[in-house]
Amino acid sequence: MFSWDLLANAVVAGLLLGGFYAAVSLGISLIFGLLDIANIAQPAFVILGAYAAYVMNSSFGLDPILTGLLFTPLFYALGVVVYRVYYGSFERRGEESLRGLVFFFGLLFIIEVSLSLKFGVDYRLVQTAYTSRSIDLGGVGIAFRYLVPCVVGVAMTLALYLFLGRTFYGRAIMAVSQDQSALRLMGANPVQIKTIAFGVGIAAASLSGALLISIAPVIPSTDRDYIGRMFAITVLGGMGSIGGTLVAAVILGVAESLMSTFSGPSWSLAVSFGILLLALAVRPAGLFGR
Amino acid sequence: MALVGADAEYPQTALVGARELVKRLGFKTVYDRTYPPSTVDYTPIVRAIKATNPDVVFVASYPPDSVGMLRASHEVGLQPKMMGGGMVGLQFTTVMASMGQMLNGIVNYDYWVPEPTMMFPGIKEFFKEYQPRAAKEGVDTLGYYLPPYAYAAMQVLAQAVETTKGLDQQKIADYIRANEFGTIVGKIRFGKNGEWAKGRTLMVQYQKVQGTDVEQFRGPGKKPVLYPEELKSGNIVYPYSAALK
Repeated sequence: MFSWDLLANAVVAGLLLGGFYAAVSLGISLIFGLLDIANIAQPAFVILGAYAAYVMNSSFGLDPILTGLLFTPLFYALGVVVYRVYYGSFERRGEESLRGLVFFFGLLFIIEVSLSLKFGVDYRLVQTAYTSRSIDLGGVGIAFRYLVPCVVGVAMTLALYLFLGRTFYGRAIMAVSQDQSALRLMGANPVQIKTIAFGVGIAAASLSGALLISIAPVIPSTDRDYIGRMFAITVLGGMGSIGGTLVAAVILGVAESLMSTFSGPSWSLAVSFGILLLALAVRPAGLFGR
Repeated sequence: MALVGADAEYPQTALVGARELVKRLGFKTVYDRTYPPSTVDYTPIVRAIKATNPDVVFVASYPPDSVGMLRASHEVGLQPKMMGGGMVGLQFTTVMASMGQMLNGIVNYDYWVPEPTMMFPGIKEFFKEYQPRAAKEGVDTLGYYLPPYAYAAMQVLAQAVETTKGLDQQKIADYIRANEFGTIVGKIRFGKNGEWAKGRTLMVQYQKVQGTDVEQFRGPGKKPVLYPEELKSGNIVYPYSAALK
């Protein structure tokens, strides 16, 4: 069944999917990769972002991506509150490893159940004019439903990369991930810096949730489909490497797409995680890890 | 024939049945694969199906993949002669409203649709009670898919309890096995294996759906019943491409 046409389409579809995967993984890359906080509730925040986009679209006709942007300050504030609770209850006491994990597990279920109680378990999705279109470029089909999230995902990656590399707070976040004591000696408060970083990570979930509901219908438990992928991308890219997250997301996206096209879609996830295991065996720190 | 479905219980069972029928009818299978339920992008799968040029695409899917497959088939331009089969979710009001005219041409299973042949005694009164409450509770506002059968199941039980004049489970079960019941979804009689004595899953085709207004699905005409014969309310638009126009 091989043809160059199918191959080209599979690669392009994989690249677009990778851009979207990068968008949903950036938050966890920042929080888990840089701050070393195992926030497994991150996918639930993404779903929360998806529902925010759904409500604003169904009630006021607001574009989902615009909603995602508008809600980032709210999600940032939510992230600040969550980190403060986590820090006060676990990290400050040095009990973050296991109890912190349980805390985020609990948070994940609280968000899921709250969404179920409020919205029920009916599938919700947002259909926009631009995501219904697709174009054909020399036999290669490009669905806007994936192109738009990919472009936004790459833009988010670039923005976060520049924020971390070019701004004072960004550099402070990089520093806090490397040596908190040294940062304290420079006169910066590591807890404050981590609070900001955590808030930025949760704020990213607002936008990535909006992208998610533009692609596929969601129910409160959809977050579980993404936990594995998000952590796998973060680890494969290298802990704390924002550029690495994008590369890893594209690798997984292209691998899934190629398997779905040529071999058997059933194997797509197994091959993706096989790549992760292989890469970690050769390079335990991940592709761009230090 | 192209057979595709999710790696999950219902789709796998439906695919087993589909394969048996394909074999019995002597059709040629050109694609037979499954995908993980957590698949995000269905375009590579649909493109691979399109490359095999099937006449019929049978899809056994759950709601997210039904939506994903349908959207991808429109993005890729997959136009077999017939498509659908066992796509769960396309019956939900929210999904119908979101998919709109993308649904046109899909031949799919269903349980109850607002066609003249389905207007059994009590069904109108049921919806008169159900729909305002559903809107308040935020659940499926039309409620055509499963709620009538949930109510009918209770009608069967109620009739059995009233006739046997008690709650003896053995007597109730024996009565249910041996008798016919009048319900809002028509007369129901169970066969020896516990299934319906005569299977009555509907096959319907989405036709003339325009835009995303929910109200268009409230009355007849958008999902005529093609099968079974005694409930038939419309004819199939064939091939699939003709129904898309």
